[in-house]
Amino acid sequence: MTPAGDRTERRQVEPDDSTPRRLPLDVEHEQLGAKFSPFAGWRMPVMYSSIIEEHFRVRTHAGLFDVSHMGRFLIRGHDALRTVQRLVATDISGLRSGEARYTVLLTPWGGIRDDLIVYRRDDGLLLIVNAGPAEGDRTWIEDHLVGDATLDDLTDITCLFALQGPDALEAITSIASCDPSGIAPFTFVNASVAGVEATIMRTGYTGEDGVELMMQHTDALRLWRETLIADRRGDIAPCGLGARDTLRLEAALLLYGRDLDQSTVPYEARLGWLTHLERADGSDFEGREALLEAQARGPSRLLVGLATDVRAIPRTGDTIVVEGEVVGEVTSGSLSPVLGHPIALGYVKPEMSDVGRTVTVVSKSKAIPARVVDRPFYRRGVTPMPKWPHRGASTRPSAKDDPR
Amino acid sequence: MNPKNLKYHKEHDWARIEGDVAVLGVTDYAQEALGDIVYIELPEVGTEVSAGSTYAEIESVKAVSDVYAPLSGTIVETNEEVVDAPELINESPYEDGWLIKVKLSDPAELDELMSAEEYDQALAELDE
Repeated sequence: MTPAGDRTERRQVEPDDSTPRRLPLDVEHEQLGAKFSPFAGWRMPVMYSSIIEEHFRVRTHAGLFDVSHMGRFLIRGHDALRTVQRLVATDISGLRSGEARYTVLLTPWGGIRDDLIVYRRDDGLLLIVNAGPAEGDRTWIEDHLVGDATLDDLTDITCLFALQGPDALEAITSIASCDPSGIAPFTFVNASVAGVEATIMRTGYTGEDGVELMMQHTDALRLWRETLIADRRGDIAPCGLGARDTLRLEAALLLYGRDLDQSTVPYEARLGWLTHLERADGSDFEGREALLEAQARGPSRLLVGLATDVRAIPRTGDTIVVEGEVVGEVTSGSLSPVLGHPIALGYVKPEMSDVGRTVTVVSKSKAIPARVVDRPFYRRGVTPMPKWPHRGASTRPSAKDDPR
Repeated sequence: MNPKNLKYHKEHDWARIEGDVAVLGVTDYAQEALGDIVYIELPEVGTEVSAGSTYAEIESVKAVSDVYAPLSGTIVETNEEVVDAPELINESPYEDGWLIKVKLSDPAELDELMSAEEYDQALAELDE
């Protein structure tokens, strides 16, 4: 048995001389039974029990993810807003303290350098970026600091967790010095959580309601353990990058490095809604000229969702074929645990992107019949949930019997 | 941990000898490493397989992996239950999760395979 075409962690099959960085809670994850895999230069927990079981835990109760590998930069100074306004495609001049916004950093050619969330705090703008491009982002931002603006890299001195699922908000606020109504989607508050000073952010990457938590790394172990039992019912489970990937794919949330890279123009990824070419403050930003040109030209490819009726899974790099002609490429694919059939994201020629079109996904060894479908694949509160777990769950580790 | 009555191949495949036929499958270590298995396509009865070559692909949520034949021969039966319910490989890799039965063309190849003790030892070295 050898990996023929790896999807979740492409890097694991490539030789890598550099020792991956370890999360501050590496030992804790090991004790919880995590399997690890290198991802973007980090040794990351991929799963604790099973990807599908963790997936359903998040869809039905709540799961806790350690996502401390993501980059966290704090831009401070009187010119902090001016600096970030110049770098992101979205007009964030109206963002008030306590509010957050999803946006992208662009190259001068209009390609997506990274996608990120900007959190406006009293003391500056916090940028949470992807682990892979983080180093490059940091250099790029530092080269574009305006006036007295400074960049503090908080990645090593803080930890970031995501508690996601229908039980998440109630569970976390039951151990926090704030109430759930105080945290609307895409806002955040500072609170004491189980005696630890933390920031609770109503953001996430699973298509489920939930929060993300940021705290000093020295407080992280305590907060991790307290959060895992915050619901007092034992229904919260630790979850790894594997489930994070299947969850985000069902919600058709894009993954940088797969669905987005520097060759992707926002319009192709259907992210035009977050580009503000004309701004209230009249500000210019990196990539704006290129976006104007791209808009005039029209996209040469468009993001689509694909579904198959057979169980063969379209994988990254497979080609999308219509009547013998290659019309695009798959960028992400997996089994959808909730829908019970494979789903994928990819790009096709615009004239092939209409919902309902039948296509063939061609990999090295098979041709999979598929069709273009609506995105997201999963809608919280709308998509019916199959009965789960149907096997094995009781014998697998959970928050109830973790070994501490 | 691995059944004593089986022979093992380094790519984490097993063979159970029944006369001149071998039943083939993947080991517990393999199914554990793959995680949730969601799809497998098996070749048709009559197909030739040769020792050390791949004869199927297993897909888990995580990845696609090749399955290697530990022995050479002609496929005489395939496990259709596993095709319908690939999770059988996770649940019962040595019994219900068998993949194909092969009429052996070169029984001498058996000497190349590992015993359960040797395979356990190989796994222990992998973990180090």
